[in-house]
Amino acid sequence: MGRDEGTVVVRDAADLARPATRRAFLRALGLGGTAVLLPSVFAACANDGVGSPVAPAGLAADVAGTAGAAAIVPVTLDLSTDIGIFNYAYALEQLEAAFYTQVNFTPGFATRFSADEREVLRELWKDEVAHREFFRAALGSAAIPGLTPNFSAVNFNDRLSVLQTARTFEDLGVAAYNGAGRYIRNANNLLAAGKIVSVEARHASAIRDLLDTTGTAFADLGSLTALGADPESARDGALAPAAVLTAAQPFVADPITIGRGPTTI
Amino acid sequence: MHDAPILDAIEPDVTATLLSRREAIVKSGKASGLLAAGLAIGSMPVALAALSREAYGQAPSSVLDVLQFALLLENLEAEFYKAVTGESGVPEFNDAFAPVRATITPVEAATFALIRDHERAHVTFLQRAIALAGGSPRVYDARTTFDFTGGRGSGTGPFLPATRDKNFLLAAAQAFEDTGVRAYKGQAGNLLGTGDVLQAALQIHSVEARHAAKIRRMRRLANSIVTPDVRLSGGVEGEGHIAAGVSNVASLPAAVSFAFFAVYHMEGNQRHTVNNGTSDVTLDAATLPNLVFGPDVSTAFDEPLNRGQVVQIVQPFLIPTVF
Repeated sequence: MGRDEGTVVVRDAADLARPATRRAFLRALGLGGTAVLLPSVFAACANDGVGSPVAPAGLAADVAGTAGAAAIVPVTLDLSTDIGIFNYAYALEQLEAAFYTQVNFTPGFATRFSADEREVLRELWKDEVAHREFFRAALGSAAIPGLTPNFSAVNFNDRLSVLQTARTFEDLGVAAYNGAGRYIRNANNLLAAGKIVSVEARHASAIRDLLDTTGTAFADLGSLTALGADPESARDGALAPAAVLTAAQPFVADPITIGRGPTTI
Repeated sequence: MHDAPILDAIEPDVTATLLSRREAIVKSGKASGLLAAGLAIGSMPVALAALSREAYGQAPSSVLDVLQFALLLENLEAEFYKAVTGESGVPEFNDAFAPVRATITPVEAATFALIRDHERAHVTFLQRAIALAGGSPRVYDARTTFDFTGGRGSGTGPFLPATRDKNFLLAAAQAFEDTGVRAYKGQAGNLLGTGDVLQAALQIHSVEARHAAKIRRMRRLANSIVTPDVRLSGGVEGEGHIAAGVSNVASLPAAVSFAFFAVYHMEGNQRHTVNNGTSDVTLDAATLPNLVFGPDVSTAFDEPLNRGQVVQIVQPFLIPTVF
């Protein structure tokens, strides 16, 4: 990492309702730094059989003095290499992980969502954090910095806003991986991306199902044509990186640009 | 044939060379990535443009085997759901599933119908792709090819209860879908660098994953599964029986138990290899920092199956003459 992500201590979930804390928290925990969640935080989180969250290890430091200090850093991707493609994926996974982190820690989580929804949202949080950490570890010193999300368009106190945003992110994630696979040069890297994309598709299916009563929304490919899906041949979304970044940029404060585009293998 | 004018428009200087080489390439049953890319999007001019690249001597690599393998699996799935929904061309198949069909709710029926239509569309798509790539898509006669009881043609195999018991049916459907997801994932490396062909396979792969997740949710929500082995997120946790989540299926035959073990073998794997540009590095996901519910993140990574493993799983559903 090129700069210190900082360490955040969250004393209780209500801290996260304060913009300064929330911003520092998202930047740290959600985006690749370290946060310490004190036990009092977890009282707000219902246990739905997923297990209790484990407070990430790290040095304790109060957030108050550093909140708001995070700088906006332009990010330029070189998509002509597998490392660049992984950084592209890392950016998207950062966004997803930060989103579910905030969903899970926004006060009222336990009453806003049904037991079914809570289990899904907690597991998606777990999976997306794992994806983010996986890419961060895989990239090592080549990783782009932690991004700062911009979730101003999301009302985290509103069930529908949260679930619809989740649907957007998951469907976009599927289309992003499906559209980027062709630019991956190494078979192990392609397989690693393949291990993740089907999990994103499972997520998309589950989130869509939470918003559905017809039994068909989970794979309603007709609603995904803007993401490159072809209902006639029953193929899912697939979108080129530039189009994905255009769709994702409103949710990221740091401007992300493509320096070198993907090249045909 | 209008090949020559099209080719002239694309790359006039190689037309003569191409026309002499095209037949050999097509006859070899192999298609390079570029050729197959054009073929998969259904565009003959694009395919021919790709062929013009072949003319310069790049060794063609085979994708037809992968597509034919996928076609078999999609046929199996499509015919299974046609039988479940009473739309099989084989009346005996429709009759066999009538008891369980009577227990399916209208919303569940809509789900099965959508999945059936997707699998059917995948069959058609793969048939076209194979034909355009110069191959002959294998035609499967459902009656003489498939035995959904897993009896290799006996009609009385260990999956017979799926025709009567909805829990059993859903467990079988989940196994079919997850096998499909794992099979496509296992073939991705064989399609490396094939452009549109790889992308099309990925687009089918993720649709299968959407199906698998939905089936898991149906099982968990409709059938009062006590243990949360079947995740509402649609994820695959653990392996073997745990990943199958068959605790709600009564009197599981030993052969079915064995089949589920094969379907989910190694799904609990946490070690994933990447290449950083110079060397392969294997990461243990359990040791990643900041994991929010402990070190088991196997739901976050789906695992592949190789062709031999997939064949082993689906063989009981095929009448022996197929392989």
